[in-house]
Amino acid sequence: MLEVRDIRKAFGNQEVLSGISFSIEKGDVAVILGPSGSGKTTLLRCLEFFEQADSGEVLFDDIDVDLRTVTKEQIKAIRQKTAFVFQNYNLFNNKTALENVLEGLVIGRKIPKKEAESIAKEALDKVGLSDKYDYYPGQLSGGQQQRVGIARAIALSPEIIFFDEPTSALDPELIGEVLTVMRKIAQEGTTMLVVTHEMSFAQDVANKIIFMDGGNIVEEGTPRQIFTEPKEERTRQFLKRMLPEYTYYI
Amino acid sequence: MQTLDLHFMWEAFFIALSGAPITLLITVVALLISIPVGFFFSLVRLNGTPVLDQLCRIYISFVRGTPLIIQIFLIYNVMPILVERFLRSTHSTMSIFDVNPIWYAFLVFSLHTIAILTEVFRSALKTVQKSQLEAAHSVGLSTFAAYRRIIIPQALVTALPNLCNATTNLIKNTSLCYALSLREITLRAKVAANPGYNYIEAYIDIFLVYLIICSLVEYGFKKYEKRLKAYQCISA
Repeated sequence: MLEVRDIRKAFGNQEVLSGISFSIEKGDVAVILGPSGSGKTTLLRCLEFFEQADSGEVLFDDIDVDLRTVTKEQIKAIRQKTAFVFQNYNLFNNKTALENVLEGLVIGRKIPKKEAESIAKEALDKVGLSDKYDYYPGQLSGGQQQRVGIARAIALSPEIIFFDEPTSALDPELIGEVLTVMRKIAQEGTTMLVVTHEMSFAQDVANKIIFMDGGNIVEEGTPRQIFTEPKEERTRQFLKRMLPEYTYYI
Repeated sequence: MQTLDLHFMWEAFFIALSGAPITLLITVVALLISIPVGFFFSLVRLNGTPVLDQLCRIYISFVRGTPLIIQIFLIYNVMPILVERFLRSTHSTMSIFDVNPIWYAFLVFSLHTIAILTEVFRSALKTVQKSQLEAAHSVGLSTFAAYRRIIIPQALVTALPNLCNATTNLIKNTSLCYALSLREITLRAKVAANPGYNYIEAYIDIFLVYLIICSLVEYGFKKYEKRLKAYQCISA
């Protein structure tokens, strides 16, 4: 469904992505793991066109985009199929929870107000915020804000949702509620590409792990392959630090 | 000892007040022109659009770095000469010296306020995080829709106190229109004071009229600000 070929991106002299290729099928829950600075977030931002990649190709269903010559129309077409959940929630501060979800439906997707409202309410109910429709982001906890962020994404019924470290900005006690929601929508068959440091999510929910380091994909496979029999030394080192309870005998 | 001529003061107050429409007309016209243009210039400055950005910068430093009264004198006295020469060279029968001075007031105060508002809008837009635009793009809003529905409403909250400042300054600065012999508040009261030499009374009247107008404007802005930032006031 989504295929990425040889994405490259440099900030000045610093090459952040040095040729990333992978593909995702419908229904996949893919998790990108990797140390800080390995380019995970940049990759996601390039796929949503917040950053312009220097070169590469993105195939999304029948849309084929050369990232060097991408046009506004192509960006718009791809964004119609995707949604994005941000590390810092990025809810619209001047809108209530319900309005935050409605905005993309009514203005972005041009769905009639009445119909949009029932979709938006359904999405908020799904993330457990049926009593917070009229709350502004400033009145919600971090976990609640992120759940609104997820509702805003799923309401659009995109073909894939990108999650950019959705729990990294949260207090430890609030992480659970967000992961539970993510788990739920994953089980409903939503295609997801998730950058996270939550190993439990990667192990239990994902069906595909992509391990990145230094702007490259070091290794990819099923969680079972990656967590129990990683092939690359770099992956082993990383997992050892992230999962101290695991020991590998080489 | 001479005391204040209260009777004259009472009468002159209304004479001064009768100049208020001209003051307000200049203010409103200047604002109507400079709000959109200033907003456009602030975007030019924020995006660092080549050439235009530098021109904006030069323009702003000219306006900020020179007294308004000199700007008025220059435009009122120098510009007509240049325009007249141009008109004569094209054999036009139009005479620039017949133009009502209020047009000069519109021009000067618009040019002045554009520069002020460019900086007001620029600083206000900067307070809205870039990620708000990204979030809007991610749910399918165009950049235009994102500005209109998400970014400007948030920036406006920060801009309003400065916008209020700019507006009241503009109102007060129109008192300099005496240099254009426009019969606004200040000039009318002063003319009324001439025969009896009641300048103190006239100045007090002028003081009061501006105070009343500006207080009303301030009140309006406060109300509007309160409404706009409703989303910030309620805390969790």
